[in-house]
Amino acid sequence: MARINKGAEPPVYNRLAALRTDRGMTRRELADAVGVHYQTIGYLERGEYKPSLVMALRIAALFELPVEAVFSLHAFKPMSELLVAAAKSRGNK
Amino acid sequence: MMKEPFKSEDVLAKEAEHALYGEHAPWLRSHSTRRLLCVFCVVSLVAYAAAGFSDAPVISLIALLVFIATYIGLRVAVRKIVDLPDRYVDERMKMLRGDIYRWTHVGVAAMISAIMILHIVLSLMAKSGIAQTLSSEQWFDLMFVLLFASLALPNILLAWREREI
Repeated sequence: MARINKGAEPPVYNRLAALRTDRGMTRRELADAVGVHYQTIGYLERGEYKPSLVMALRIAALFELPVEAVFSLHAFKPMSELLVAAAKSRGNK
Repeated sequence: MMKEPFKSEDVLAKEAEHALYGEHAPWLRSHSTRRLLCVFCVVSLVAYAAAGFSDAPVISLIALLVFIATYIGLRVAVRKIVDLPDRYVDERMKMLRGDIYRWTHVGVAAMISAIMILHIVLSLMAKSGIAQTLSSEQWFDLMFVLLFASLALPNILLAWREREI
């Protein structure tokens, strides 16, 4: 029988703030679209609350992205780093 | 024919909307104000119990009025998250509420245990002639405090703990 993991739960990282700003949405608009209170979005963005699978899927669907592009168990690389890497790879082609 | 519920769904929906999204009295929701309300709530309950024991009806009444005012203030400050039906609160609030009620259960059990210990100690002391047992009025006051405390405790815990509400 599998035992409950007694260790501390790993943090869940997300790109919610960046994606929301990118789409020009307020916390309230995002909250209304997902069906939660606007303060829950604040808690999510600060990493103080881990969403349920349903909420994570709803948010990913709203941004039309796979769920792992929005939420991850590993820290996301900064956008600037990704942009530099993308620019470099374009330059190499 | 089905019996009408206590509150119609429309009234409840409006109340939930007002409580969760209303921008009235934002100063009441600041963390420092909420903590101050918690302190007033606890102090008023202690004062009510103390006044009951020392037979001071005016202080009892003042303490009761302060408690009622702070209790109403606390409910507004925590957006009635503690009392709203599940369908009006989101998953984070439900989780928060579960946590708060678990601690309230512990708190109320601790208060009942303390009252029982007090009763045992006073009975033993009364047998040895050191002290008197509580009168029925004093027991009534103590039970009243327990009732008020169990009503206020979820709001107090929520108001004290949460940074943003």
